Amino acid sequence: MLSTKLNSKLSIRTGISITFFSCVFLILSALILFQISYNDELDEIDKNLHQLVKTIEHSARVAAYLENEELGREITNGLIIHDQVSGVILNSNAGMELITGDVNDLSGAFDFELKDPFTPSQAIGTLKLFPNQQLIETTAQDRALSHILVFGVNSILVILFVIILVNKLLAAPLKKIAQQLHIVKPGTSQRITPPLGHEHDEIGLLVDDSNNLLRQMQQTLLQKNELYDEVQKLEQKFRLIFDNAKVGIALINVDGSLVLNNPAFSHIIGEKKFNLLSNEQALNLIEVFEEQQTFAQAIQSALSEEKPYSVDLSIKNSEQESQYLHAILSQVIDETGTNLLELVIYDISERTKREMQTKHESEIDALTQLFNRRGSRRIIKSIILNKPELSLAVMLIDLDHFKPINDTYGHEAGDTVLKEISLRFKSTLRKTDLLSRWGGDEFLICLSGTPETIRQEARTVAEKILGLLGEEINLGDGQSATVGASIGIALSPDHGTDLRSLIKIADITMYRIKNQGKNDYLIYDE
Amino acid sequence: MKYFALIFTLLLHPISAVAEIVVITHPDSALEQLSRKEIIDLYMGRVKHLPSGEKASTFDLPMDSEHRKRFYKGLTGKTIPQINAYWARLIFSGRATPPQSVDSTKEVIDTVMSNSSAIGYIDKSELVGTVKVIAHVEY
Repeated sequence: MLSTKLNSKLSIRTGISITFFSCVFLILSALILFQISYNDELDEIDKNLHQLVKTIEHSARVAAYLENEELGREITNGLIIHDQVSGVILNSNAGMELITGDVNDLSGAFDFELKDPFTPSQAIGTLKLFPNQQLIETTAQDRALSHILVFGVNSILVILFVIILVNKLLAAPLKKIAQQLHIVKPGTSQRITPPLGHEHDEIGLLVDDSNNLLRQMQQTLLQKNELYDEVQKLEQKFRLIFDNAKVGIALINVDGSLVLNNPAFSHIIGEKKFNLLSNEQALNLIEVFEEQQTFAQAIQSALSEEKPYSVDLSIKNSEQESQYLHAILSQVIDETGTNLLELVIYDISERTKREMQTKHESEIDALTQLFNRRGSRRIIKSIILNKPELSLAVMLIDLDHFKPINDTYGHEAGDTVLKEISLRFKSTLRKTDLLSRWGGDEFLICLSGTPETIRQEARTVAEKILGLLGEEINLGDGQSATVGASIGIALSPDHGTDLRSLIKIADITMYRIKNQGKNDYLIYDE
Repeated sequence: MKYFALIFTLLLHPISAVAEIVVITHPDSALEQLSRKEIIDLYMGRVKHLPSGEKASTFDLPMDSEHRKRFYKGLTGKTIPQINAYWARLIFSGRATPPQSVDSTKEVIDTVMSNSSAIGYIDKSELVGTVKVIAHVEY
């Protein structure tokens, strides 16, 4: 398709161009040729007629001299026979006038002066000839036409020759090259061969240059392929790292929207959060984390500090359990100059939970499940620190008659007593009140309230506790025991504002009760 | 014409030694003198009548005559064959007739003497007193 089109186009276009210009040239030359032929014809007729007149000049002179009409007629009739002559007038000065043929058209007529045959200096008459204009024109046309015909045939032959030449010298070799070029696959070692006989001309040059281009293309493609392979391998490795990393890796925009992430990331964040989104929608991580403000600030910090910024975050998983994450944000600038952030997260839930568990265990008394001394100290400290406006009542409770139970019924019985007492204490306290096991048979209760009410509240609680201890404790196997309690109470801010002094005062007060007879309570300053 | 007049004056002089042909006519003729043009017109057939109205008769010397040759040469500048061709051209027209040929100068003189409208020519050296010279043709 391509080749035939190219071929026909080239030769046809050349042919049309040549034909067009030839036609124009032909028409112009026809006009000029006609004019020239016409003038030639006129010249020739003029010459002919002059010669003709020369042949009868003598007779004409004699005829005019003698006024001899017979001789004159002979001459005029002789002249009119000539088909280039349409009319003749022979005049003598003395008055003879002989007219033969058509003498109306004066346009081409010409006169010959007739001299006296014996006195040549003297004119004795005129011979007027009327050329046959129609014949002249017809002849001139015929002549011009035959010229044009010859020229036209000549031109057509030249055109045909040029078209054939163009086809043979240009179109055909170009077609060959085009056909070859058409089937060449770029990047292969295929090359074009120059058409025979065109190795050293412009067509050969075209072929050489095309081949050079093909060669360069092949080299370039080869290099590109190699490079592409390398990049591919490298990318596979990176992808391997990226896809198989246990940590979540993601690229995010500065507004927190997700650009790219690895499987671990979506796994940690929770696949479901992704499933909720439509295709084009990017997940915004600020909405994902529990600590939205913290995360937003972390982004700003990472951007402004130009170094990785670490932050602990948490999310709620599908079971609404908190999952703890450690995130590292660092600024990256991509090839277009856009600011992005690299976000690396790893799940620290187990560690966090374990830590919390450990912390919990260290603060809880295994037997009663109450806070131990450590736990209660931390809590009271934090209350004092965080809510200094509150008044506290620190009540130190030492059980009376507990040691004999231990000794008599064994440690298990002691443990039962401690558990039972814990439960009884708990039942009388508000949720905000702190109950802890301070030591072996010592408990500590911390109440919080206003300075005006705290004293009364402490009193009420102490009395309730003492009341609760009045009931027997079932030890199993039909046995039971009863214990009492000595309660020392210190109030903040009246008796101190720090934990240490409050405990010390409560302890002193508690010992005062123990020494006075037990099973009672006392507020330090009462 | 001035030139001709001068020549004629010289020619008319009796002791003139220049060779010439004289045109003669009958002594009684009213004709006294003819111009060169008039002689040509008469001899070449253009004019058939004398100025007097009489029909003119012209006579030629024989075809091979040296005087005839000199006469025509001097008169028209043409040779005898040319003159013959001229007449040959007109022979069938019937309108013009060439001068009548006689055999000798003597016959010319005799003819002129016997015919009052006759005109002839002879060499000046053969001139006799009886005829009237009406023109001279130098050669």
